[in-house]
Amino acid sequence: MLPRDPDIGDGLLAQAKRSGSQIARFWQSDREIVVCGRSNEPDRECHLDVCHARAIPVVTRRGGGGTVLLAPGMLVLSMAGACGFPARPRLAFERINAWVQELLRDGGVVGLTARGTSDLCLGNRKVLGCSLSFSGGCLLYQGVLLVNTRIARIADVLRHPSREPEYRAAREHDEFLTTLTEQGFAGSVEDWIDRFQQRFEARAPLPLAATAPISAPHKTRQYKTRQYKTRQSVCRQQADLSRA
Amino acid sequence: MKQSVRAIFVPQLDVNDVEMELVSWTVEHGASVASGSELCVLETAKATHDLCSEHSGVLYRVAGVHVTVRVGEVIAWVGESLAAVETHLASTAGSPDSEGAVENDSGTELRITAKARKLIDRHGLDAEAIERVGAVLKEKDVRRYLETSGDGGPAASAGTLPERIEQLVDREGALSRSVAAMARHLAETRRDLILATVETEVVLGRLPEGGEKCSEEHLLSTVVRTVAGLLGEFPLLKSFSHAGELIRYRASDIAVTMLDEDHASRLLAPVLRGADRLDVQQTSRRLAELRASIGAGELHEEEQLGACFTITMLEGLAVTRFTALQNRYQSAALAVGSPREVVISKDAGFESVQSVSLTLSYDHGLCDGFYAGGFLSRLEQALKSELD
Repeated sequence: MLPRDPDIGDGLLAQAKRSGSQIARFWQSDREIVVCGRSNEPDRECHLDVCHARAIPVVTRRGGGGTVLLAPGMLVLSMAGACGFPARPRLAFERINAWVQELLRDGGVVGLTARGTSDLCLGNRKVLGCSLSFSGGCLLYQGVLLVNTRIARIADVLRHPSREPEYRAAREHDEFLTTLTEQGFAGSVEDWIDRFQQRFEARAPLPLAATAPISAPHKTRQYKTRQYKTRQSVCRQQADLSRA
Repeated sequence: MKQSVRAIFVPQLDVNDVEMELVSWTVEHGASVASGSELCVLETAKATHDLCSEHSGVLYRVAGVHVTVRVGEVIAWVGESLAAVETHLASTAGSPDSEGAVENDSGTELRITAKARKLIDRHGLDAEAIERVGAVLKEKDVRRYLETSGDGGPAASAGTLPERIEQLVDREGALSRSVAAMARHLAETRRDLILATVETEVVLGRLPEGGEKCSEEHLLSTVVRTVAGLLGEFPLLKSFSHAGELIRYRASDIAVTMLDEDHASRLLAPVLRGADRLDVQQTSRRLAELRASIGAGELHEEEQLGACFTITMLEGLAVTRFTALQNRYQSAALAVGSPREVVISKDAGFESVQSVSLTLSYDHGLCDGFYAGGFLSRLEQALKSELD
């Protein structure tokens, strides 16, 4: 069994369950990491010999979907909170991705469309993928936005996925994926991290649901991972139970 | 103390989901579970769902891992003990929703349900070679075995090919969910009916010198309208068999296969509701609207459900004759070939005419060739008079 990375997902979800509030982390990895979906077989989805030779960790996440490569130039979005409704994956994808789309559009990215189950595309090329995990009345959304990463590195490490949306039409990574920069949209990963943080603090994408009473406000904590040394920050939104 | 045994069902997560994958069990078979504790992980549409138990007790697992389970399917039981669950299952063996009576496989200690036995006999399998979850071999164990071993013959490990073939091919990965689902859908339909076909050639009329063929669009609209009008006289073709019962559609809603070129060229089958109440022009307009919906990515799933009959025409392709496969919950489908020019002898000379082939696929378990042929003959006559 592959190791889980609590700082990518499990820890965030557990924190949201305990606190009853919404928590988000927008960050960029400073090294390559292969992250498999919950049901993936790593030897089927990636070149394990390449990962081993390059000392690329291979871990699994809580959510479903396919295997991805995290690398510099990609913005990782992790958001957790109470569902506010019964577990409805498609509805959750629509709501959260609509929030992401609106933010990107406000930042000057035009022409985004939703394709497949939960992809965001520019033209017919994917620029954002995501997954969900539902547990104990909470959900964890994990997405990756390709800002200015080098697509070729993905093909070096990942095989053609064992499952793909129909619109992919069997295209290889370099023909299927694109980045914001490649499509002519400015902005560094750091710029987008700031925008996502500010938007999340002002208006988070999920509705809140009453869970256990919150006795005291939580303090913001900074997460540091010893394993990856990623630059990240933690945003948290205080639950307003009076509105729930 | 009264023993209670509760079933654990696959929940409905999204409205349109009918099945999902059981990714992993969190609790071992025979272990204790508490109400609210996690039992297993289900995955659908890129989302995982930690399924929790509503009851406390001992877990009796029924489904395996990395298997497809259907919404509403029982994947486990929770009772006071494993024995309590087995007693409960044995006592309910005669109920309509159960697997049927449990018997011992002859000469062995293996216990098999009636539904599993039926499937084993149909495919000529060796019951001992089938892996099972739990003490009794059930229908889902056999179905899982059939999925992984392909044609139901001697079990082959997944992915094994003869060496010579392995040297000549590239593995492209597992089939996409949609393709695999379509294959299963067609395989299930095949199991429930006996496919037979009848064909005819419809001469549309003399081709004037320098004249053009009847447009495919006009031909298709005319065929749809004419078929819809005839189905009332041939009700078996708007019926299907299900669990030994004859089921007949009340309305003449016709599905027409269309290609979605913008989405990996997938085939869709939007339905014209009340096609027998439309004239040819209205039919043509409605087909155009449906094509526009597909092009805009706005065709809803409900618009592809509930047809009594399907018509397929491979528009734009030089395919003069083919066989359409029936969709689920239908027993008949009509394949319309591309109009073509043929030369026939007439009087003392020859004449160029337009011709189109019609191939009707039907369920020989419901009606015979005379019935199907009668429908096709009426269709041929009606089209000739309409299009000549």
